[in-house]
Amino acid sequence: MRSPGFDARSSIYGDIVQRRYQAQNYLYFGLLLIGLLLSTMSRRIEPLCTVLPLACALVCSRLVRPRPVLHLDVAITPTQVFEGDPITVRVHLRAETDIPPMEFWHPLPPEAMCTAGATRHLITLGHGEEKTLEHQVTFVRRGEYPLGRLYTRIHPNVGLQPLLAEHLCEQTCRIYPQTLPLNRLMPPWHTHISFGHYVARAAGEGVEFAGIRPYNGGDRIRRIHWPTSLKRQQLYVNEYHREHNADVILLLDTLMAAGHPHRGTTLDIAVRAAASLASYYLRQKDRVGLVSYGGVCTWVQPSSGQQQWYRILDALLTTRTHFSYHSKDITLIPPRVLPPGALIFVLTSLLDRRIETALNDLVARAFQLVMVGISPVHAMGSRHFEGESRLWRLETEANLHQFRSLGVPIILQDTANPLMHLHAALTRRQLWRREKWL
Amino acid sequence: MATGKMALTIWLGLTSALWALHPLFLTQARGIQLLAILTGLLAVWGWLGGSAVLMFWSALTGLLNATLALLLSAHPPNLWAGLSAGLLLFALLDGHQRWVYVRHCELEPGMFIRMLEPFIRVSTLAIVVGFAMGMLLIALDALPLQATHVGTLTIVGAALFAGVFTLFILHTNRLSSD
Repeated sequence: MRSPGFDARSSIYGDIVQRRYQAQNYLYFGLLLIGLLLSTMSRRIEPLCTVLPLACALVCSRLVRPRPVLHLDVAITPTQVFEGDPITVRVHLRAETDIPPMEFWHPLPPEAMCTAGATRHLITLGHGEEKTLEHQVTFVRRGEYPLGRLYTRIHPNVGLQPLLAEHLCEQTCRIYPQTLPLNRLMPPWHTHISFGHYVARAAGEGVEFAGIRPYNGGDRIRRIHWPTSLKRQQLYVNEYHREHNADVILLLDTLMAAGHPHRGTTLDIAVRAAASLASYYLRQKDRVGLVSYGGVCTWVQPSSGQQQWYRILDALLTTRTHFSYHSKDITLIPPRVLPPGALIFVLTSLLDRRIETALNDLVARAFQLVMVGISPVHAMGSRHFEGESRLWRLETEANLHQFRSLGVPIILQDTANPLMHLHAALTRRQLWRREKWL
Repeated sequence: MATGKMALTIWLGLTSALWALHPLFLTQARGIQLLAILTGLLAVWGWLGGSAVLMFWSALTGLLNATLALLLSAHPPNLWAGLSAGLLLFALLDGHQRWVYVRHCELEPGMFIRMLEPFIRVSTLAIVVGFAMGMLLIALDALPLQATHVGTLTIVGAALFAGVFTLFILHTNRLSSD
């Protein structure tokens, strides 16, 4: 996903300039007074001469008042990317006057990294000179981030009173969650008649060739298989396999998340998994929906197609944890959001036990559940990863034993790829056997 | 860029060494040697750590050391000795400030020469002012004044200088914030 980009032009430098005082001023002034004091006390001229250049620098910095004029054009391309994709920031500088040594920098959000070029430059420009600076920024975490707030600090003369200017050419960059490749087929159990990639045994509307049969009244003329009809002297028509698709719901646990606020949390890993699954099943022409289950319950109604993909991505972009002591009742989610027989992927960190109540309810309603447990140990980047990870696994296995005994596949992930063992779990047919009383 | 950084490193190293060793040209007393080592250590530490406060302490120690060395050695008044130390001090403090920028910024070609210009300008101005001051002192020495009067005049002059300079700084600060 790549957007066309953004161009911005800042105002003339002289209008928004601020004269700032460096800490060096106070140090110089302090040394000047000490030199004066030493000179007076010792009745020697040398200490005063020693601090004389500092006095000259202070005087010069206050007497020289340049008025530099600078134009900035900022181009940010693209403004919509996936995590890890580079965004190019190109700054074109044009000086109308001589610009003394100027520090130019582009502060980045903590989630961003400069992967090429530099965000800080020390440059000088002559009258009418133009220069283009370029750097690439990569975001490690999904979200909406403003880029394009630039600062310039001109150091006229000795640089004790630099001229600071802020150039607001901000543009919001939308960083969508990274999608992981899922190439192997993971078919759902329950499908229904619609256009899709699943082929039924029964013949019907579709594009997959099934065979030929004698013509019946009402059959379409365009379906007549002419070579066979001519050979047998009787009309035959083509038969096609009926197409099916499925309803896939991605249930995100937003009750609680653990991890680093800038590098990523368990929710970010779960969001990546949700984006990957949505991408995969939408490519299979399935209807995909999203439910964020937390303090605030939000959802995207199941649908198929490219538009739904963007709807889900936009919803995932703003997914946050909403902690609340009041847990929502999952039965309140309308049936059009949780269609009967839907395949539900539950993406949870299992940090809040209230998710188990919701899962019990879903199991009781005979949904096809797949639970993906995201390890908080991995997200927090613990030093004692091995031991803590094993403890987490043991504890989670004990907590989820009842679901496993009911045939719900449970995948516990303690790697960066939350869908690593998904295919193996989905193809183990014995796990899908359900108790008769359900 | 790498050449510029290397040149600035050599420049800072040289000024740090000269600034610390300057009092030793006057006298090699044990106390002066110890203070010179302390000055040098503070300068190098402040330079490597990018700390302006440590540079200030190095400057303060060096200034005290130089004054002590002058008093201990009973060296005759020498305007140029003071000025050379002053230029070294300014080079050290100004170079450190620029070094902090160079460490964090990508240096464009031709920047190093442009960065040296203010130093040359201020150094020239300091020499001119120092020379004028020397001339004034010689003229004052030629006047038939008693030693107590000269002492009083020095204290009053220093106080006046400090007062006027403070007022000037405060006044220009007020103007620039308008």
